[in-house]
Amino acid sequence: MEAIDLIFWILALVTCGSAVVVALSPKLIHSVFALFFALLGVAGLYAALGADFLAAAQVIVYIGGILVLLIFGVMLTNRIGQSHLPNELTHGVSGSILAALVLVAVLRFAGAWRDSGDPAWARTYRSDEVSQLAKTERIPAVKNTTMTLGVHLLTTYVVPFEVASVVLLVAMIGAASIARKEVD
Amino acid sequence: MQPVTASVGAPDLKDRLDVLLTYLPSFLSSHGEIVSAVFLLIVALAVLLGVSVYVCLAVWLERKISADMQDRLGPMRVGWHGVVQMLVDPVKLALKEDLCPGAADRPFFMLAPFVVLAASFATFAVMPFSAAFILADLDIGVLYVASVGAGVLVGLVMAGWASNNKWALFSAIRTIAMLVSYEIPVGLSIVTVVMMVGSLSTQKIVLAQLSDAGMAGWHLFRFPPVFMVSFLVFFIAGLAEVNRTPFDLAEADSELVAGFHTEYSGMRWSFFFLAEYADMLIVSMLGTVLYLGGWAPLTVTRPLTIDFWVFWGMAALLAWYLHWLWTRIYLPRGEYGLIVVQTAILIAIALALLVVPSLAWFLIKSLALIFVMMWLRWTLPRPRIDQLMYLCWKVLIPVAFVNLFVVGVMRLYWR
Repeated sequence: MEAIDLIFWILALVTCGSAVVVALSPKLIHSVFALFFALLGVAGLYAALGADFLAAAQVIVYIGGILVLLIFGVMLTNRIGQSHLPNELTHGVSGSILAALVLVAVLRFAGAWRDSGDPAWARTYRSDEVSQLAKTERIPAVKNTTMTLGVHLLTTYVVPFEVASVVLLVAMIGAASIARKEVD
Repeated sequence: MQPVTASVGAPDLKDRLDVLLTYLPSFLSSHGEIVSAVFLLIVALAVLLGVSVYVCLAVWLERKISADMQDRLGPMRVGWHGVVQMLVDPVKLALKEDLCPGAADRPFFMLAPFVVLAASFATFAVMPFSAAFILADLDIGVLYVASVGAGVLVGLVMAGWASNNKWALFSAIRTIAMLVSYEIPVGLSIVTVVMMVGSLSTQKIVLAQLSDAGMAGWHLFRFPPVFMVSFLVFFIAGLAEVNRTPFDLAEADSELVAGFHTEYSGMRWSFFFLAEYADMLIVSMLGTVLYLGGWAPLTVTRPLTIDFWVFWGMAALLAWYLHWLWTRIYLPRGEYGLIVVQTAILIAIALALLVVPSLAWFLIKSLALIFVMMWLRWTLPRPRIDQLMYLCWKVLIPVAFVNLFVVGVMRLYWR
C-alpha cells in the first residue's frame, strides 16, 4: 500500500461517514455541518488526484458559497431546533432497487467492465508505473491544471462559459428583485 | 518544497537559510520518501510553533500598544515592562476549566475551535517566507488562501450555533453576512495583482516584484494610483475578514457580550484568539506578498533608488526630531557627540539591512502591517452593521470593480 492509497481511504472514510450523518441525522443543523466535512473530503479527493484547481474551486463554491447559504437559511428559520426531521425508511425495497440501477447505469456509462480488468480511470498507478507511462505519453503529465483550464475556458468553451455567467447573472437579478421590498 | 534558484539574481538574496532549504530537501530525497516527508513535517511544525510564539508576542504587544495609545502603562508587573506576561497568559488559559453549557450542542461545541484553528493554520502552507522557505508552492496559492478562509467561517458559525445562546447566534449571523460580503472586495483586489503577474502562485507573485530598484518594483508603487487603491481596498476588507476592530461587529462587547465565544472558556476559548491573531498575520502576509514585495529586500545602500531616498530621508527626519527632542527636554550638552552617535547608528542599520535574511524582511513587513491593524483598532470607533454593509457594497465593491477594469485595460496595452 502506497501513501496515496492511505490518503484515499482516509478521505473516502471522512466523505462517506459525513454523508451518512447528512442523510440520517434527525437535526437539520447537524446535517448541514456534516455536509461541511463531506464536501471537504471530496475536495481532498480532488487534490489527491492532482486536480488542485478543482479542489480549491470546490471549497470556495460549495463550502464558501452554498453551504454558508444553507447555514444562513437554517439560522433564519424560526424554531429550527425544535423541528424534528422524520428520517423513517419508506419504500425501502423499490428505493434500493432504483438506487442500484442508477449506480449500474453510471458505472456502465463511465466505462467499467469495458475490458476484462479495471477501467483506466479506476486504476491506481504505482509511482514507477507513472514515470514509465509519462515517458510513453500514455498519460499526460499533470502540470499546471489552472493554466490549461483557463485557456480552455476562454477559447474552446468560451460560449458555454459566457452562457453560464449570463444565467448566473439573471438568477442573481431575479433573486434581488424577488427579495426587494417595494419602495414607492 | 520547490526551491527557486534560477530567478534569484542578486547575490545578497542568497542567504544561508535559503541555501540550506534549497539543498537539504534534494539531499534528503535521495534517502527516500519517508525521510523527506519527515523533514517537511518538521518544517511545518516549526512554522506552526513560530505562529504560536508570534500570537503570544502579539497579545502582549496589543496590550502595550493599546495602553500607550490610551496613556496608560499596560502590563508592568511580570518581568520587564510585563514581557513575561506573554508566557504567563497561555499557562493561565491552559489551567482554566473547560466548560460546556448544558443546553449546548455538545459535539459541535467541542469541535468548532479546532475547525477554526485548523483552517487558519492551514493557510501558512502557501506563504513564501523566503526564496526557498515555502511549504507548498502551489499553482493556485492565492486561491488556496481564499478557499481555506471558508473553513474559518464555518467554524465560527458552528461555534455560534452550538453555544445555544442568543448573543452567540446573532454573532454567527453577523459573521456570515460580513464575511460573505467582504470576500468580494478582497477577491477583486487580489485578482488585479493576479492579472498583472499572470499567476496565482504566491512565490511567482513575489518574484515578479523582485528588482534591483527595490521598493520601486513593489506592486504598490509600480503603477502608482491603481495598486495603491487596490491595496487600500484589500487592507480595509481584510480587516473586516479577520473580525478586527473597527469591523468586529461579530463580537461587539457592548451589544453581544462576546459574540460567538461567549460560552467558551480555557483552551477552547484561547483557540479562537490563536486563530484570530493567526488570521491577522495571514492578511498581513498576503498583503505583503501581493503589494509589498514579499521577502524582497530594500536596496537602501544602492544610490539614488527610491529605497535610498526614502530610507535616508526618513533617517534625516528622525535624526532631526531626536536632536530637537533631546535639546528640548534634557540639558543641551554633547550636541555634536549625539549627532555623531545617531549617524553611526543609522549607518549601522543600513549595513545591517544588507545582511538581513529574506525571511526577516518578510516578517518585518508583515509585522508592520499588524502594527497598523492594532493602531486602527485603538483609534477608530466601531460602525453600525448597516454602515458596515454600506461601506462594503456601495463603496469598496464599486471601487474594486473600476480598479479591476483599469488593470484589465493596462494589461491589454502595457504588456
